[in-house]
Amino acid sequence: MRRLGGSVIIALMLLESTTVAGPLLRQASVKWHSVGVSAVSEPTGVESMGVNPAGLVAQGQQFISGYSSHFQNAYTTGIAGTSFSLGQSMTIGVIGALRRIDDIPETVSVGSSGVQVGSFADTELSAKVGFGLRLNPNWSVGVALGGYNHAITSETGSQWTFDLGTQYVINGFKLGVSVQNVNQGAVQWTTGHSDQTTMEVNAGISKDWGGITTMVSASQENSDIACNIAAIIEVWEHLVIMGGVQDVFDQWSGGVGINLSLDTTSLLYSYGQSTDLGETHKIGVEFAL
Amino acid sequence: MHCKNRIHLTIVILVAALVGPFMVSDAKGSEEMVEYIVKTSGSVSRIQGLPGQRLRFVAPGASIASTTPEYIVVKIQKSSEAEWVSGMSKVAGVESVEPNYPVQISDSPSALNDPLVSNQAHLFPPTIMAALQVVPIRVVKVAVVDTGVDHTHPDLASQMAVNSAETINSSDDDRNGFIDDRYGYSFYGYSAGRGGSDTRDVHGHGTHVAGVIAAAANNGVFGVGINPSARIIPVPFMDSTGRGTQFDGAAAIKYAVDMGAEIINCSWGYYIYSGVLADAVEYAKSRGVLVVAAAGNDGSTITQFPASFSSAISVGSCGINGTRSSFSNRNSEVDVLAYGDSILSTLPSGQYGRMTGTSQATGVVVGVLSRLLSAMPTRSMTVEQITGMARLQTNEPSVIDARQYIAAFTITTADVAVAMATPIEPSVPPVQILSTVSTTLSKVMNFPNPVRTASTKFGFSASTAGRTKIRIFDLGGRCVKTIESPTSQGDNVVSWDLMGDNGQLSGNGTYLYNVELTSDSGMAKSRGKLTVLR
Repeated sequence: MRRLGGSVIIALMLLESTTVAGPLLRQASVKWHSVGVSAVSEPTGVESMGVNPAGLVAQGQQFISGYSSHFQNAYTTGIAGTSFSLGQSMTIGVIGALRRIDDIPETVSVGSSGVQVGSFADTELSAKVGFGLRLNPNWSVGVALGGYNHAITSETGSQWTFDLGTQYVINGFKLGVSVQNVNQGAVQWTTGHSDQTTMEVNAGISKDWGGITTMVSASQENSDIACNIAAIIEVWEHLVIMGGVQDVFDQWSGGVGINLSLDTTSLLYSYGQSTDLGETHKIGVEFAL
Repeated sequence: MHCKNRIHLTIVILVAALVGPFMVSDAKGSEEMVEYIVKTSGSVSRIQGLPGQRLRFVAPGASIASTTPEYIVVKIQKSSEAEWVSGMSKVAGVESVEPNYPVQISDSPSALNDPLVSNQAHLFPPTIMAALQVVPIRVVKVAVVDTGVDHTHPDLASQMAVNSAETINSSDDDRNGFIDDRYGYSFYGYSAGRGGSDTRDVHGHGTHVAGVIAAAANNGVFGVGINPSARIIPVPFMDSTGRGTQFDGAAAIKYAVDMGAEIINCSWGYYIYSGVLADAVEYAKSRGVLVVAAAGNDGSTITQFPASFSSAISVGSCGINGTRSSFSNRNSEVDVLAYGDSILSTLPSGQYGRMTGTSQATGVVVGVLSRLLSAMPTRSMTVEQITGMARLQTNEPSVIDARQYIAAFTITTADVAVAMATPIEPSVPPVQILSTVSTTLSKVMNFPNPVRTASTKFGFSASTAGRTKIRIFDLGGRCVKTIESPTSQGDNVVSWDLMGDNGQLSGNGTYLYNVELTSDSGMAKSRGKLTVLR
């Protein structure tokens, strides 16, 4: 990723990112796939726990479910979650995502060559319980506690995570900041190995220009900064189109999504294209309870 | 095949002699007549001195067409051919009796009106030119057990074998156990209960091989196959990535045999012996059906099946200059080398293009053998006899059946052998599935996997020298490492120490990787999954 140094578009505090529970929920999400991290200032509903738990409180009670085939079916993910309102200003939610990678070749070295002797699977499970609180009409905050389990052959790794987030509206602009994996716990493997993780910080800003919401965000991984842009267009009161580009200055990848709302039910489809790895397709459904 | 260690294989091409005795109708047009040449041991006068009734006794209706000082050309009724030949051979003073074959201007490729013929370099070496002079007199069915065939290609549409006993009506009209197999049958997924009548090409490989064998001639479009008199039975069993199972391949071979194929083209293989595949090849042999298979494109000495079964012909590849192609597998099971470099042939959707490999060389051999068979009046040969055509010389004179036609009337051309069967030097390892284009990658894998150590190696086999870029991605699609290296033809190994481009050690989990080979002749790409588990 291109180093932007001090000339960051958005002057927000940015820390480091990690690669475990948060990304899995985000990668499995249907609703926010196309806009990715840009949704940090915009997410609503139970899926917001993959980006910013403060978005929990905006949606109230709901149930969501989705399925995705990533990169020409290199792997698949599933996601399901639900949230409940506690009064006018509090919401709790629970969400889980599963990633399954089958048919990974098991190979051994024979001299200077390799021979396939079988295959194995890789399974990841990420689950979070979150709490969102509206402090006033313009300001909400959220926290989430997550568990992560990763199984490869007969070995497993696990980790606990703790996330924080906030959203604030000022002069029509929505600001969002989230810090995921605050505890920076390590993934402890039954092999005895541990993978140290770091915090993931996402910060962004969005504005509704009258049916078209534009979003821009930034995230930091070590010393590199990625910038993301996205837009949500309300084509019709029941139809919303979303699109975004991640890491626009380097390894960009794009996605578009469509959200068709019918009464209390929403149908979602999202498509992503990576120049290197191919297509991603996602389908999902949301029910307002 | 038998005599696998026979290093110099001699191809015998039967030029005009193979077409059978010259056949005409008599003046009444009711009885087909054939001509035979009787060679005398002394002078013709001795034979001519025989009472005329003697000839008539041997063959009623026989007449002398012409004579020279040493030969008599006799015209007889075809129905009494065998009896006449037998009797005449016993006549005192008769040294030999042989059919009088027709001669015609040969089908020089350059004389055809197919515009791309001049670009089909594999047709012009003397060896193939000799084969093209053989005049086909009947249709030979050739099964292409592969990825399917584009039935609609302008150069193949007229070349398909149609099972006229079957109609497309969702029922098994010919009661052979396969519904709607009018244009072959697909055995892809057969072992999993699938399969079906859709034999269209899902890859391009099968269409290319079919064109090498039998692309139509003189139709004014594209190029030509080696034996346009062949008719193709498409029997796919591999998917769009060129992969299938040995069980499905075996079922496809058995089907091809039962549907009347005389030669089965198997431009594929795997390095592990398969009993079910061996049974299928033996089944073919027992029915007099020849299985011709690709030796493999790994440039190694490891054997591959079905090519290495004793009852199959294993085909390696050589260039137009007759030297072995560097990618061609070489081992004692390889029977013959044929042209496999940059072969121009049919591709799906009406296209033409070049592919390289032992797959294409196999098509060339099948084309030649089927052309020879097309010149046989009947189908009455054993596998050994068919293969004998391609490699053996024999001088046993006889004229009665097809087998002996070959024996009696072959014209040995050592030149044919030079390019079709060049010496094979034994030595070196690994293998896998084939499927070739000009620039190809095969055997792509990282090892060991899962990676429990501090590093892993990417192994791959390149069909040509070039430059390889390996890119490793996390599951979010972000590239974490790029490795570029020069690549040599054949097997290559590139190591990775699990460090990302950002200097961080990659954590446990699965990554996706792309291996991209770029060479002067094109680009090939393959991808895989790698798992770190420390």
